[in-house]
Amino acid sequence: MNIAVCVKQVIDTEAEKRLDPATWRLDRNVTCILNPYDEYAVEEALRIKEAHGGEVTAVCMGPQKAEDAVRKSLAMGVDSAVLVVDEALTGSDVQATAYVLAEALKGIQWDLVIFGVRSTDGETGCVPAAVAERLGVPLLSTLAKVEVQGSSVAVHRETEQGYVSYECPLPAVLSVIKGINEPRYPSMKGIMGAKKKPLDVKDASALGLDTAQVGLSGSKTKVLSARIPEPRKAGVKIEDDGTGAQKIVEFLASQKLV
Amino acid sequence: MTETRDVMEVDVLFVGGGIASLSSALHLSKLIKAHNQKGDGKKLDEVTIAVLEKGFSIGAHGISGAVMAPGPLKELVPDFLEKGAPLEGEVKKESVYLLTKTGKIKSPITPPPLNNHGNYVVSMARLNQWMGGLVEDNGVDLFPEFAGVEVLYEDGRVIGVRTGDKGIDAGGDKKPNYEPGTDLHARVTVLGEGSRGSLTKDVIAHFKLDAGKNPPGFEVGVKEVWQLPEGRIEPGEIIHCMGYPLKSDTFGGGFVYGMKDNLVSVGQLTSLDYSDPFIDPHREFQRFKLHPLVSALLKDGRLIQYGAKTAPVGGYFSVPKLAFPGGVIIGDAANLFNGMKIKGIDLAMRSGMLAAQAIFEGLVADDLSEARLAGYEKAMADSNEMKNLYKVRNFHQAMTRGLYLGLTTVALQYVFGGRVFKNRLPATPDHAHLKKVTEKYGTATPSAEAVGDVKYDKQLTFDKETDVYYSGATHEEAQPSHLKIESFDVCYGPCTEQFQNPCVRFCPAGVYEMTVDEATGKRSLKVNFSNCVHCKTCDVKDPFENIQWVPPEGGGGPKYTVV
Amino acid sequence: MSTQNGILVVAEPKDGKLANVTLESITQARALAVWPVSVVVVAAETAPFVAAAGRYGADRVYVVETPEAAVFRPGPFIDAVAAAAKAAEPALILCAGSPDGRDVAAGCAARLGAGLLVDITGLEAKDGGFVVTHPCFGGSVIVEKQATTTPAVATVRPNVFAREEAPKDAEVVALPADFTPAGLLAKVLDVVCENLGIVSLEEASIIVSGGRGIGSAENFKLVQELAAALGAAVGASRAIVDEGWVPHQYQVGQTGKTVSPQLYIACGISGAIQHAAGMQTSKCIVAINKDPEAAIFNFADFGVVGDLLVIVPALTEAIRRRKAAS
Ligand SMILES: Cc1cc2nc3c(=O)[nH]c(=O)nc-3n(C[C@H](O)[C@H](O)[C@H](O)COP(=O)(O)OP(=O)(O)OC[C@H]3O[C@@H](n4cnc5c(N)ncnc54)[C@H](O)[C@@H]3O)c2cc1C
Ligand SMILES: Nc1ncnc2c1ncn2[C@@H]1O[C@H](COP(=O)(O)O)[C@@H](O)[C@H]1O
Repeated sequence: MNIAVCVKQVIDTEAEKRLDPATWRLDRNVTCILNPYDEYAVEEALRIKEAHGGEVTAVCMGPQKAEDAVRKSLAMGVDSAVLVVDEALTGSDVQATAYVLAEALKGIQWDLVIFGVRSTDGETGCVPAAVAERLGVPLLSTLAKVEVQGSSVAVHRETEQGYVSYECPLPAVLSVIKGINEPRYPSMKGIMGAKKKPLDVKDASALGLDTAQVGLSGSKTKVLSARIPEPRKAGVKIEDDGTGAQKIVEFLASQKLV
Repeated sequence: MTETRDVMEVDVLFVGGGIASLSSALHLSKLIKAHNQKGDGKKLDEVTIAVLEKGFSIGAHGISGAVMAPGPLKELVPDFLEKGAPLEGEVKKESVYLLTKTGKIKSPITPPPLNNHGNYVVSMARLNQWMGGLVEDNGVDLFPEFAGVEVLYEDGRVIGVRTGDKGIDAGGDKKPNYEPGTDLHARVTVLGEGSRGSLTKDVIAHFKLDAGKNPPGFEVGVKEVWQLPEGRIEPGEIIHCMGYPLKSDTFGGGFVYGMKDNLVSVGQLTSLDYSDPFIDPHREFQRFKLHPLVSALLKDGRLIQYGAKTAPVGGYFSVPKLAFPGGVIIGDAANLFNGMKIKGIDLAMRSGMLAAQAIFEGLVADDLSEARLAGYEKAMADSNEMKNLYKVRNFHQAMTRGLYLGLTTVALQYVFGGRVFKNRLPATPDHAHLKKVTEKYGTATPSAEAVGDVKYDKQLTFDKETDVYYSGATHEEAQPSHLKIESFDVCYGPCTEQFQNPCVRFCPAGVYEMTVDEATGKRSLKVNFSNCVHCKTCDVKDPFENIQWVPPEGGGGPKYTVV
Repeated sequence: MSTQNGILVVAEPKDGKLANVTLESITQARALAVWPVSVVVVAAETAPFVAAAGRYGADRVYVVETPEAAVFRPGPFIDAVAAAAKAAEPALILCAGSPDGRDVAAGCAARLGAGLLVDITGLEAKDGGFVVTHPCFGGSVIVEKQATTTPAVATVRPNVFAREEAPKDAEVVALPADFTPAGLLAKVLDVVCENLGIVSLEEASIIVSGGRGIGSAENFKLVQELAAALGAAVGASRAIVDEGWVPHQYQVGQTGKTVSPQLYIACGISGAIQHAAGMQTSKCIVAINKDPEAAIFNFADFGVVGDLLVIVPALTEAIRRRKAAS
């Protein structure tokens, strides 16, 4: 029962998000962390491994410094990792990212791939499905419960009303939501051990990537402009004279909100 | 208890990843490397060095003014420029003002203690982050997100520290991801916890390291970093202010330091030996910004980051014994701070480097006894930094007497190299200085004007809640509060009656909130521990010593990047 | 990228109806005057959806009707949409900005080699192509983007576009339910409605939130009643979560959830920046607070200074009456 988990390094949302006004790209020179949503994916992978044996491999595409995020997953208990780093990959959009991750995943052994539900900076939540499609493997996303039973997996997918349960043979691609578990803290021993775990850094040529499909130029979407939105302004403010509720209803009606 | 804790052995353990520890760890690792390369004597092959830092990352809890005297840095990292040390600017322009409400009197000369030419403006958060990189590159293990919470003693010596448990909920119960702390055993434990260190307090009391010393004294610094329109202030340009907005019986001062990329560091220090229970250091800082000198500078600028921290200003006589069985104390944790020059970085680095030297010699000699470690204390006494501290040894005590009287005393003292009061002026702990509301104001309900309240416009001035947002401070909310209130009866009884709960005012992060039930008049104190920026003012200033600050779950607290 | 052959909207069924975001997408596609506007419906029973699509002005509706599509599964849905895309050859495919919609959009885009534009809040036809608006980093930056492929695929954020009926006799094109075997591997075991009627905070189009101004834990029911009357989700500020009046999952803000509904009604919330950080991208904010100085009034579209214990129940009553009358 081998599991791959895709982990991304993101800008810490607490830190100020600064955009380089020339390129409209994020200034990555701020504190970066392991995507918090991916901690749930790592934890879920570790739990399955603890119950069923096997190895967990983390897969990440990012700059060299994304190694810190990968090390964190190793410190939590992941066995080994693949980090894809290449100048040519900078600026990759969802599809380009999915292409790179799919190619990296093809190079390792797995029965399950687990993703976080979304990244806190990309925020697309689309990478898992795009990767599943490229791998030709069934996808079950936004899961609140995952249970491996022999050669298949039973899951709960959250809906607005409750959940839908599915069963799917392995191999499969999953994404899990926040709250599916409580991710463990890396222990000191874990952190020390992580320094010695295998971390395979690969560039585009080592993965045999077609560089026309990656990076800013290989992406099939482009940013035309970016701006900081105007701060909200105060609207109407009235004193309640007994008709406050009625005035709200009138306002909502005028805005077609009721 | 059947619980098993991991035990990890290291040779040298640093508690606190501030500039003192980082300098020390860097120096020690370099000394060991050089020794091994030289090849004579016993090789020190497997010396392990670890640094614990409660903050989210190295630098996340780093906050300072700051103008740094670069002496120790030049020795420690001679090629600091090539290595890209994050220096904001060299000090070339400097002014000192005495402020009145709307006016200012410029000092024709910069008083010698404030003369900063050749120094550098730095951001502590940035400097620590950079140093952390160097330290790690030298093979030291850095452990951000790990707080030391308990000193481990055995046979009359310190044998290490225990790190905090993680994954405990508000009720004290273990969560599914509970992770017990690790017992870190070390041959030498170096306390570099900074101002009012919690484990340091314990060790000082345990070994009575403060016997015959003055109690420590503190100031709290409240500051903001702003992004300004082009050309307002030069990187490295510095302004020091005295007087307004502080009343003349409260000591402190404002500062404005120009940084790179049109950033500016603006802040105000308030001495915590104040007597007025209505003082609110955060508010005093907001008032400082309202002074035309500052408001003109900040016009059309934008707040980037906020932070607050205490600085130990008790001076020479408040420095405890620096070595103890099993370890040493360095930097702010040892009150090694020059309150008159507002400088601690150089002392922190110097003490760290000298401690490293003593530890290194002890490792070579395979003797890490207290006597051996005391070599650090001797070397420290001989350092220039310590001699300067001795020169201004009565500064803080004199300033307690109020600005003008204090200034005269200090001027005399400086001119005569500290000899005006041959012996030391006595000092009382900060919390004991607070006067009752009625005593201070002649009434239990002083007017907002008398108190000095301001309305925050959210352009130039901000309430605490907004400012805290800009410190990035958060904590895992499902954990027990790390601000231990010994007795709520004291809060609702004598503290309300005499001082009207000064915690709601002295805390610069709005942690303490007192609500009064309109119907019953019943008070209840809410502790918003998640707001805490780890400044430790409450630990210092509570008049009943009713609040104890202990480290929360590692990783919590502010996330400083430019302060 | 071009605009030729128009736009294909992927219908999202929800509770037996077309999801609002689908209707919004159809309306917006029509507003661009890029013809034709097609809709693809994948369901076990497509008739009601086809009717709704026509009512909102679709020119053509592709239907894939099969029991396999009774409950959402990414595999068959992606297959069906890809087939519709092949038939319609649209310039742009619009999916719902929902978990299902994202799976379909990302899967289709990967299969078709199309550029994927995620979470759009604006859509324009410009210079023979489409330009979309996308707020990123929690709304702190707004970017304009374009795909370089034809077709392009986009997911549409719910509640941003208007929804207007424009009845039309849509042409209905039935497509075979030809599914790839891999797509059918995942099997639906059970559909469980455990928390029926509770709208999830992050997806809700209306949220009613309570803050310390509600005064006590019991008074939170006033907030809940108003929410029920409006069909809204319930939120809270940290203050009352700390008080233990409501559980943490209700918390909106810096350390809670980030929401962006069409309407946010803040009851007794001061509007501190920590709370604002989680809701200030709401389309419309209504505030009720007795403190005229409360920060929330600085960014609320409509503010009432007054006692929420009086106003909120009256508002609930007025909404109920209005709904009963319509
Ligand atoms: C407002 C202000 C302005 C100042 N201006 C200047 C100036 O202009 N020039 C100057 O030279 N100096 C200035 N200083 C002083 C200077 O910042 C300090 O002297 C210096 O930072 C001390 O370094 P340190 O390493 O001893 O302590 P700190 O910088 O406080 O570092 C201690 C570190 O230890 C961590 N820590 C504490 N306890 C634990 C624990 N139990 N477990 C794990 N980690 C722990 C803390 O999180 C922190 O990161 C100023 C200070 C303040 C507050
Ligand atoms: N660069 C990346 N490297 C590894 N995994 C990624 C990367 N980008 C996204 N992912 C994975 O895809 C999930 C969804 O991300 P996103 O589509 O960006 O919201 C994340 O939670 C990760 O598991």
